[in-house]
Amino acid sequence: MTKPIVTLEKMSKQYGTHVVLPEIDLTVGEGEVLAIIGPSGSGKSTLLRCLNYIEHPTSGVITVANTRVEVGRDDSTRRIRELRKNLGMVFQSFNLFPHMSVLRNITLPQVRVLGSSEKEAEEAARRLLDRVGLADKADQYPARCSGGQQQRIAIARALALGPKVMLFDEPTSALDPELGVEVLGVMRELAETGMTMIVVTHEMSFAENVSDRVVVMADGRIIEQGNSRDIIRSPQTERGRRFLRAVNER
Amino acid sequence: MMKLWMNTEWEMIRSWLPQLWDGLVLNLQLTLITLLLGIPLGLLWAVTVRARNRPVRYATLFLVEIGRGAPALVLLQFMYSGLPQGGLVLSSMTSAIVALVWSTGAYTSEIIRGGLESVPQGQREASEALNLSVGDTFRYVILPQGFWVAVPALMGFAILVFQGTSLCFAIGLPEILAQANDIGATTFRYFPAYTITGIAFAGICIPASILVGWLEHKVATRLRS
Amino acid sequence: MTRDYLLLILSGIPMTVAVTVVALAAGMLLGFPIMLMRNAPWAPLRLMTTVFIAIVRSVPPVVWVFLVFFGVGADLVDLNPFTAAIISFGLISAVNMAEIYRGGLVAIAAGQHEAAMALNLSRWHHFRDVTVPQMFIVSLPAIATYSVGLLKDTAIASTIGLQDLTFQGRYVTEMTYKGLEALSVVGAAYILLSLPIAWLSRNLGELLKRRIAR
Repeated sequence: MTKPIVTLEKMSKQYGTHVVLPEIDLTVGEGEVLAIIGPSGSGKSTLLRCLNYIEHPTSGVITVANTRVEVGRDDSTRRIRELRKNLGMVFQSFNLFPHMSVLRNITLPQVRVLGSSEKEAEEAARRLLDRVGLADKADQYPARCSGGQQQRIAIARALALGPKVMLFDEPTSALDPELGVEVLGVMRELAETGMTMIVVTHEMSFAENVSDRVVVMADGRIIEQGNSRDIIRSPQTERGRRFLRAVNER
Repeated sequence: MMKLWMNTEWEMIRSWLPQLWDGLVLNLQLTLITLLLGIPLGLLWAVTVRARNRPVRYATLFLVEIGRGAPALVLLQFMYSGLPQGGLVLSSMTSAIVALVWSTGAYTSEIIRGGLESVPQGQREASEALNLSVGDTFRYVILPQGFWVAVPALMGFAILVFQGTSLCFAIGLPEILAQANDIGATTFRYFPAYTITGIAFAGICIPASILVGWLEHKVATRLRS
Repeated sequence: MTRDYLLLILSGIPMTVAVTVVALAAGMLLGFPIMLMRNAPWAPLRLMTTVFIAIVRSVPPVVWVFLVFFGVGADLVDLNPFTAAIISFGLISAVNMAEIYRGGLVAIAAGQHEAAMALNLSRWHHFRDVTVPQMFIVSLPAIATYSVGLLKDTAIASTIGLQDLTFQGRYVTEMTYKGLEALSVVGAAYILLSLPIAWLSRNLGELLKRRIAR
């Protein structure tokens, strides 16, 4: 593995008495593409959302690049914002700002968070839109774009802030297979440029062919991890076999 | 004979119109002032009612509950006849403004809060993930979307504010109902006087309601897209 | 504030409650036929009712109260404040109830009507057993909210001499010059009176739902 860029140590998450993640230890190397798969309710999304503190973990240590956050002890607002500087997130429901044009969706965060000038922000935004193949949509409003286009715009928006790691929370689950293909194409291209990616997904072919490593989760725990092709073709655990058999038989 | 009676009635009623008109203008002015001050107050309270600072939250809750829970007439009387006991004497107009602004702020804070909370959670999450500050999130993402949702309800409420200004006769404000009372008391022609007053209100509120209905429809279709 | 004056103010409560309850009851009853007329198949009736509803709702309650008490009351019939209050607020609440019922009617799921038709229920039974009960249940929250508003609106009747909570408050203020205290008591009384209604609105829907088999 290359130099670790994301490390989770003993991270747990519980809501009241309901424990979703008992304890997670995970390391992701720089430039690595990690796919997290598993049945619903296994805690995959929760893990991802705890990583960038959209959900507050209950305990543990999160390290991303040079920022280290100790849950409960050293997790001030400033520290969390430092953490998020290197993390970009793409949501299942896109979450574009509907009342702004596509272009402004991408320029506003740059201007308000990075302090870029409007001109710089617009140039960067147009470059990114071009990269995801949507240069002509710049002045449209999200509602006029298909789901696949909206998700690609969401990816551009996250990339605009220059994160070192991109997080994808079931990016294609809300899309028709046809539209999902566009998004997976962009994600593949992103992986090839060497971006570190952590992807929670149901798309087995993406997991198998694009990701370097696969993590299988069930009941809040990591039950298997390893080389993508190996794990998906021949899972080692009974639970893993059960899940992948169901997936492969669909 | 009938025609003669009608003519004199008509003449008499026509002589009242300037007086009633002056009163109506006052109602409209009061409505405008109340909305200009009351809606920003409602926006403030919509935010502070969820403040993390407990004294601020409780103070807001207190003011909103009273502004909404007490009848407008009682609030008006409180300002005009109650405050003097505490040493503060306000004119009719000032009492009216303070009472109506308090009431408007209280009601509109609920309306606006409803609008702000209707913005999907995903918008907040995306803003957080992008590291937008809390202030920026509110200003650029939540407020523009939430306020749009609240606009039709606010306009509907504006119509109620206008109707509510008629209560201010009770604290000595020479608005249209006060004028009608005056005319009724001197001519004993209560029915025509109040009828014209009613027509004045209907003449403004019915078109306004139709406008609000059209706006509600527009916002609903805009949101659905 | 002495105990006597406090009790005097509170003695206005029964009047306030009485007007509210009677006006609400009258409104809930009369609102039904008005709603039917509003939805009538015959266009002229529908139009007239729509205009009627619009006029009643766009004129402020206080003007209606004055029209009934001074206008009708002085010229045609001799009315006391209580009767005038019930007539005006009854009228206003009937019209508002009609609109609430109409909203409730629309809110009933289409599937309900489809099921009733598939079961071959007669139009009358469809209406009486499927539509009306559900319309009522769906309307309950709106009716509860409206009741609280009506409670506060009845304060207006104090201006025509109804000896309700507000009237007594003003009386005590004039007697004692302690308006701050007196009117605070009045305001607090209205707020406290509205609490049971708010509680009822939140729970009546659930209570009724449990009684009706699901």
